Amino acid sequence: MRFEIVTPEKRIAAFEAAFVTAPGSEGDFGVLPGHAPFLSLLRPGAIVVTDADGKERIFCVSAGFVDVNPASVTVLAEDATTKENIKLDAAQARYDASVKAVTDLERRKEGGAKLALALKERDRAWAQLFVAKM
Amino acid sequence: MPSLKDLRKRISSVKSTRQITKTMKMVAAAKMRRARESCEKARPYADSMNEVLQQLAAKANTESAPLLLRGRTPVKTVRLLVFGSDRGLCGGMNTHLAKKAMRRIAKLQKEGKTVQIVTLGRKARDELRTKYGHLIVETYNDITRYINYETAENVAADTVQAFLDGHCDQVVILFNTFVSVLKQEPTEFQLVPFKQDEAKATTSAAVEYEPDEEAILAKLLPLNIGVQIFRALLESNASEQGARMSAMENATRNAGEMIDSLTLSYNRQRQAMITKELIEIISGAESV
Repeated sequence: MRFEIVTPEKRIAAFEAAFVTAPGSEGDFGVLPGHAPFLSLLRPGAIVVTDADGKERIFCVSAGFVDVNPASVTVLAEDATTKENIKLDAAQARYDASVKAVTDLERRKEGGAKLALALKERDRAWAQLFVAKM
Repeated sequence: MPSLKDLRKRISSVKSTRQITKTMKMVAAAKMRRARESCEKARPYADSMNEVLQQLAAKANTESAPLLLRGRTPVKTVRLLVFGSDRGLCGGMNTHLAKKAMRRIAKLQKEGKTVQIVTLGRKARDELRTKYGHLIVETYNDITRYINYETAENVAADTVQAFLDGHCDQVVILFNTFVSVLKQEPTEFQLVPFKQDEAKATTSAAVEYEPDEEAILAKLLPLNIGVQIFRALLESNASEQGARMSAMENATRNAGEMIDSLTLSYNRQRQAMITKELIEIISGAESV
């Protein structure tokens, strides 16, 4: 089946896949070719795809959703990167900074748009760190 | 009659102007190609997102649907997001858009609605400031230089917050769509509440949703606002580069014509002087 992962900015990857696992908002799930039509939200985490040659490819995603059809799996992620592009120490630093930003905002009782963005950034950083440690 | 020296000076200054406009045109052409590429790249995401949302919105219960879909009635305050460029020298692109915005504002005010303006890009602000400066609630400047999704996300977060806090009941975006190098179409698009497309609302296969439809809608609607703002930014940027390219092309051509006519009068005057000197010499020789 055709696997595709796109972000608002560009298409990250598109290739033939044999098996896909993704972190759904209600729990991780796996998709084999011929799956029933299905749409799920994503939580931050790793998408692991086994391609046609049996090689595993790992992508890091934050918010978004997956659209599953019998012949295709399309991941629409707000932000996605391949595992090779993530460095462990940079991810750790980014995560620490994002946690600090959120606690700072919470301590100052600031809500609204700023907090929403900070929370988003924390999710992203967490996903990167998670993937980097895999 | 300007002297020969003056003419020479003018010719060389127009020549250097032509050199500059020519370079600017080439830079704009290169940037436009890149801008159009990013427009193309952004399309698959925006299209899939729209498709899924249309399907979900058609199924959603009108009463318990998220506020971003349902909207608030009556609509009292309308927020306009106007996308312009940060730099000038790009023809009438910003002016055309501002005119459309002004017409829209006048119409809304006639209907007794309150208007809020948010400008993106320096020129959008400059165009609207003189007449509707008091309505501008927020401006984002210097955003067109490096367009990334993060910028769109920031604007979207502010917009969603303003809507949820009840500062506005409807959000409309105004931007230039790239049609061709010569043509940029000022476009209007309702961002909030989400506009359902009746034609596309045909629900296809029985799709299973996880979690349920409404939870997904509640999550995706804010995301969609970011995506639409991002798309508008990209389109607006491509339009800007296209408009600048054709404006600079015109400027280069005009400079060329000017150089031709200046050179002509320069040569004519030079010839006239030579003739005059000859006559002086000949008549001097004759009198001897």
